[in-house]
Amino acid sequence: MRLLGQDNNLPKNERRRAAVDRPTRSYMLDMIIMMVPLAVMAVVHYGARALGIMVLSVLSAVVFEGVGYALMRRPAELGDFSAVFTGLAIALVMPASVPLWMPVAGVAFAIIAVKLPFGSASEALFVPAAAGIAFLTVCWGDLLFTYPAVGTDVAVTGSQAFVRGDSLAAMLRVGDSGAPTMFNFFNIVSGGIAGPMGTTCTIALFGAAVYLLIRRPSQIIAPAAFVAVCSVCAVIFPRVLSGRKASLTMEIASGMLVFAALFFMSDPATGPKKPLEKLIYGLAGGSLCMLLRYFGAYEEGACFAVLLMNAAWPPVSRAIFRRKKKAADDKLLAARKNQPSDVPEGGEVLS
Amino acid sequence: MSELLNMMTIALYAALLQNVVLCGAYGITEAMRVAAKPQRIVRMSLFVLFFSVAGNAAAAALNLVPEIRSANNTVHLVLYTGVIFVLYFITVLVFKVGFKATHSFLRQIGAAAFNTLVIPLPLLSYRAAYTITESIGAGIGTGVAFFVATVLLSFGMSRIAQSRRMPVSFRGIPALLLYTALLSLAFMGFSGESLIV
Amino acid sequence: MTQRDKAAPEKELTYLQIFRQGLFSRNPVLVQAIGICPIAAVASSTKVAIILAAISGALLIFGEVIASALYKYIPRWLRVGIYAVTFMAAVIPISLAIDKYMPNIYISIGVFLPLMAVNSLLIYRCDGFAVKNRVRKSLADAISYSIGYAVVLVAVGAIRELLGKGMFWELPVTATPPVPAIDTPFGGFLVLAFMSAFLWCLLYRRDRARRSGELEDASDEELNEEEILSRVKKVSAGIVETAVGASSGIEPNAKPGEDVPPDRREKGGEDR
Repeated sequence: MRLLGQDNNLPKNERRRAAVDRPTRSYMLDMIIMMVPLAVMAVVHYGARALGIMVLSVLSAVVFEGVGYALMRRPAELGDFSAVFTGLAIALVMPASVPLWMPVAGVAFAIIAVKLPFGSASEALFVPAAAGIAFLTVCWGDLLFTYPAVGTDVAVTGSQAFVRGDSLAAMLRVGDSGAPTMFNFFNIVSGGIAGPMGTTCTIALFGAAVYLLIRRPSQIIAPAAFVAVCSVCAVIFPRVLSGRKASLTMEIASGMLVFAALFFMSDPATGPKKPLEKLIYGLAGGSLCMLLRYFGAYEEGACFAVLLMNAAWPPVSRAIFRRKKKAADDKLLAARKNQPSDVPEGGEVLS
Repeated sequence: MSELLNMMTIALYAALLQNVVLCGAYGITEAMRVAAKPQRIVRMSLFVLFFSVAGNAAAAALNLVPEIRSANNTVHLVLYTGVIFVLYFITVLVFKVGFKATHSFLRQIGAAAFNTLVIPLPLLSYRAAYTITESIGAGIGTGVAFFVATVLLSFGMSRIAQSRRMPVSFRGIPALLLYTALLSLAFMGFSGESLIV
Repeated sequence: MTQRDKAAPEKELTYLQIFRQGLFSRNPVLVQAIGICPIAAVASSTKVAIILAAISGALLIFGEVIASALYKYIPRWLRVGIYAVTFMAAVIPISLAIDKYMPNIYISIGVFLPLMAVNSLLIYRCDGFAVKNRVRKSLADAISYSIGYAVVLVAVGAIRELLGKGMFWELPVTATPPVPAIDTPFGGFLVLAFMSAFLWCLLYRRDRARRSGELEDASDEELNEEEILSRVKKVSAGIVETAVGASSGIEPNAKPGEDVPPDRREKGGEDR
């Protein structure tokens, strides 16, 4: 299938066999290990359907990536597990009642439109999973934010009838402050209230954070800053009337806030490298997330906050850390002098 | 005071919350071209800001005349374009005669005045029935939106250029268009699927 | 013609080259990234796309002919404004006609009708080509670019209507829209990106085929077009390339690290 040309840009030894990007693989494996307890809790709360969605999502991610690499006539780089990560991440933020084609659509967008065209996982410009979730939010937001009540059965296949539950994010959006009186604290943080499959159990999320802290201490800075800003904002500007502690609990435990912070903000390819930069990255991302929650169009805007930070970080870091600016600009001007100067007709007017 | 707040809200929306360039695709060709030459970003953004604010304010002032306000679309079209042309003419004369500007500089002024971002602004403000201060806010927002969009695109372009493993078919314009699509998606978190302006 | 126009004579392009460029190797939207605004924003239904294509075609032909005939004598610094005024004047009768005969389309196009007058496509072609060439060549250029733009407009409109609304020609095809977000400018950019990648892939393949000698009867004219294509690639790559890796995207057959001499293509072109 010579739909796209043969890729002659890869070094010769990589054209024949799949070269595995070892640092990426090691990182992705860590991320997947962190997601295992979340997946387990998802199955505990929502049954076999949750498992089915996760398996389908991961399989479709691997298939899409394999087909994409085949079309590009490149050896498939499936060994770096980034497809598995993307598939699992998208699955875990789905409601357990979501139609089965939806995670597949999200994965298709993430892999085909965000990951493959920009190169390998280590050169990503946006976090593919976050873009996939954003795509699903924009296309089918109402389906994405309809959750089944915990403990009721959702049929694995067949009819879509299920008992709906109110999610914390929806309660926050309308300012419903009944939750803390109806549910107790343990219920909220162990995932007893309806929400995305893998992100409701806050205990498991913090366990995963501890794992990240032990394994890769520098990668925890941005997620910690993100959650810290969100907590401060939840305390200072509560959306519910039943007190600041309730607001804090609900905001942190709702939606995919901690999940996005832990898995997307810590991505080494799209995020900054130095600790101070990571801190600012996390703070800015958290602020954007809360802005989106309070004023945005959807009840959960964490994935959009991640995308915005991915795009906005280079100019913001250039503005803050100006020392590198002069060197980069000198390089730029020197290279421009060497560029061919003839411009074909049509390009002259505004260049 | 509330007028000022109103104006700033509209400016904020147009610039950041529903970036008109990225979410509405107004002026995107211009933004891409300016983003390819980063040294021109500030200058072009200032010109776009000037033309959108002055043009929109003048158009809103014209709308205060009842005959003009109730005229049909074609009259508005002619009038608003005439306003921008007059502004452009004066600006070009000032720079040519007063500052002895080079020809390419003057072309940039032309590009900043007549593009798909500045021209529809008075028409959209008319439809939204903005007052003069609100129109100024929309103009400010538009100028800032252009700046934000070009900066984001410019940095995106340089990251695309440094990519070593990008598929050959996507190098260059296709990757840039895809990057713009994802930027647009990112800003849709605020706006949903609709645009206020 | 001003002194500057005379100083840089353009290589005379044949009519065939002009036609193929506008449609294919220098497609204004997919290769040069010009005129994207109406496509990304409103080309979400086939009917509207066809109307827009017709309007922009009419404007481009009218504009290039007039620019080629008359606007050489206008000082360069004022030309952009004169173009805008001319095109606005041309859009007025079109706008009135559409309002009268197709009021639904008029409402759905909305503000993008006057926007077609300042579409960057028009200004680029008029200032970049028409004022420097004779009227007949400008007419050919206008027709070919109109067709190239129209093809992209209608293709994008059809795809977006099918996927974004589940309709075709405003008749329902599927029960629910397959991908609702394609209706938005985000969807427009997405569709354009993949169409552009597809066209660039075809261009690269044709370029590679010519280099490996598969086309036995490569005439002078086709070699000329190869030169032009390589220049287009260079400039298009130059639009996105900055300091680092300036030549890595241009020469698909070079092994990485191999230095591509900048005049290699000129040498190849001269060996006729």
